Amino acid sequence: MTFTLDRRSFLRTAAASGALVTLPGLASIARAQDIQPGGTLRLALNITPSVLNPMLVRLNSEYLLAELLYSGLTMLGADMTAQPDLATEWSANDDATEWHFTLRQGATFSNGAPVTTADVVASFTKLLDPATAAPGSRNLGPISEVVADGETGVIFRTSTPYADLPVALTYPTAKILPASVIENDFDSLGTTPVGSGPFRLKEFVADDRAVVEKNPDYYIEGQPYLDEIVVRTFPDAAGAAAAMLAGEVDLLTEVQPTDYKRIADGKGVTGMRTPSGRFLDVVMDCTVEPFNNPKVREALSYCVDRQAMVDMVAEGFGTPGNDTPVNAAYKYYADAPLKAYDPEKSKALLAEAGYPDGIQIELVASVKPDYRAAMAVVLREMAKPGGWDITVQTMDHPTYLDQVWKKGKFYVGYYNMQPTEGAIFNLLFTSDASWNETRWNNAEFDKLVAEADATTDTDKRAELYAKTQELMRTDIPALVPCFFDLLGARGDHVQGYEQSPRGATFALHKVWLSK
Amino acid sequence: MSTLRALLKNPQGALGLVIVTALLVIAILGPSLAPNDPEAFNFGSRFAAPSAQFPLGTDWYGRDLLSRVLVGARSTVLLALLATLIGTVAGAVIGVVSGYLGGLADEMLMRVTDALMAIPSLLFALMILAVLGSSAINAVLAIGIAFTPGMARIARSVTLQVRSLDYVSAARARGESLIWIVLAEILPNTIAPVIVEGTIRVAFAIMTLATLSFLGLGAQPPAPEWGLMIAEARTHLFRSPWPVIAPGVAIALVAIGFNLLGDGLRDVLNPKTAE
Repeated sequence: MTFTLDRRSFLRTAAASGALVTLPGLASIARAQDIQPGGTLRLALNITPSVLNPMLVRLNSEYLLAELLYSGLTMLGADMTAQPDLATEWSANDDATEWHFTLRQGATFSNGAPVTTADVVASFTKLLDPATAAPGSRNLGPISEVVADGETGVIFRTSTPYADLPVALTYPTAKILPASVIENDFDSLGTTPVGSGPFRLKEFVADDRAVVEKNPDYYIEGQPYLDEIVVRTFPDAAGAAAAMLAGEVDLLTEVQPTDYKRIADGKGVTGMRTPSGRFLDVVMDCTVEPFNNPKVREALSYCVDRQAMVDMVAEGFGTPGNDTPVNAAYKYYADAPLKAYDPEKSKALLAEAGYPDGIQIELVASVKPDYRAAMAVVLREMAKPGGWDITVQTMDHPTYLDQVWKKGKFYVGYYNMQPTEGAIFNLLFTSDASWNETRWNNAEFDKLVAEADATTDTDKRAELYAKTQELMRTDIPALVPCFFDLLGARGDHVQGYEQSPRGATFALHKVWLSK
Repeated sequence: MSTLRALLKNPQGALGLVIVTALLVIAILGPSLAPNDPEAFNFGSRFAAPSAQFPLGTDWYGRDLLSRVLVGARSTVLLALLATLIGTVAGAVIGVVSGYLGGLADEMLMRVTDALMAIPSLLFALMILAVLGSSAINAVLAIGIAFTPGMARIARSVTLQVRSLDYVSAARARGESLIWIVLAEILPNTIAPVIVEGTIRVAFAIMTLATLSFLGLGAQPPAPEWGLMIAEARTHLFRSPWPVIAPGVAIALVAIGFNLLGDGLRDVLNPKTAE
């Protein structure tokens, strides 16, 4: 990789990311002189990454490993816009149904083969193949066809106009893999990664640690700055917190709200806090009793003291929710007065719905993270005067994923922020959502989301998304009592780490250690 | 009555008896003794230290810890007693029958018992819960079943001594049935060691029950079960130690009480040390 090519690609980067990024771009040039490359970063997780195949990852810890070892066409910036990765620039036709991506030249996989347009086509074909069962593939957008356009271009065609495609392609599963591996030995990716990411896997011990070392051929000159990253898995958050305070760990990407203050006050530790659209919701199956009656769902929504929920469950590190998964961290958030806590109204609505004696029901909460059960217990207490007799059933996380998630009728869900409104709606709430757990199946909502997906005009989209949020607030497929800020901690010597409100991207190739 | 008198003269036994009696009173009257609703939140006084209003402080939702410990005594202690009772009765019957019958039946029963005893009791209880699903009553069953092999061993060893005694031979010569011989002749004469063992086991049962709840497999939040209270309080330990200390001390006291009572009973019921 020559200097001129790199400089040119930098200019292209700046051009593609637009005027907004110019200022931070300049700042990073100024800082570039102080960067001290080298060293080992020790990072702690408390949810074990078990899936290595980048197309099948589902957890933040697995997203982290996939991001270290692989690259996608675009990567998500902290401002929730698409930034160049393997694609250096892109453009769409006027109605946003055909997108042209220009592939970076000179990128290679860890097996030495260059990254070609054929690899991109093969990767997306595999990703969109229902037989692959890639999680969240609905989130990539309505892609109908991916074809190569010569040596350097790839054309994506969508069945309906889709303005968010470059951002949608930042989804953590959308990684580019060598076509030869996909065709011959896809399953081997579960143990032997072959990617073009900033790091290469050196050692992987399930439930214990993963060690990655610098990819010397990485396509961004000079990056990654670190020589090595050791990712350690702790069985619980308390262990990771203790290791951080003892100086055995340099970076925690996640800190529990209950631990945050103590860790952030630790010697040599800096707390990191970013408002985010990450939320806990109370999922109600809208097709079965009693939740098939909208009045019952409305009744429960009056049983939540939302600010108290933030104080008790998020320990104040969050923002109240209004029964939509969209908050101020999103671009098209439509503000509305917070729903009031009114148990009397709940009682009246239950009586109208045919439950004059109230409702007795079991609420399931997984034990990871801790605050799922906390929310269940707090809701139980808040809903008591509203005619609800909720019993809480906690369950270990694997059992919950296996038996309750997407199947149960009343449970506590937990989701990352998504880069766009369309992404979160299509992940959870439309009729053909990847994880349509509420089975709300609201035709009007589907229509609004589809229309917004296909619209490029900003004002029109704002109006459509405002309507979707209004619809969710009144028909309530799920309670969203509060949003959580993203909390993390770094040693004072860790530089260049920026929390992404999305919670699923980490950009560790930009991190360096001051001596 | 004479046993009770002897127990009161024994310092360990007397102390154990006092603690256990106090505990049973709390277990029965707990909910009416509690000054506050154990599940009611007090938004204004989260993590309060002990005070006149909250004698043991409050937890992270501002719930009164004294009330929670008092109300929790019933579920914790009664469930532990129930678990021990299940284990003791099942173990005693299996042990006595096995010891009395001897021969092939004894071999088979005891080898199965050996196999089960090879599994640590907590692990065995976890396995049973994995099959039955987690709830307080399943935890009781699991602990009862896990205790059975140990009890069976003790009951059998005593039975082996008793079965060759003259009064058993006499009963057999009279042509009494197996059930009558086991229940009327053997069981009453093997009961003392079984009771002692059972008393000590209650302490283990409380701790195992607390452990299971701690692991999220027993009682469910917001139940004021002591083990669960500690498990939940763990994440808040660095902000206030009281939510861990209150139920922790309660568990320790109960375990000590039953152990002392068991030791006292052993001394009193053993003919060699009784006088």
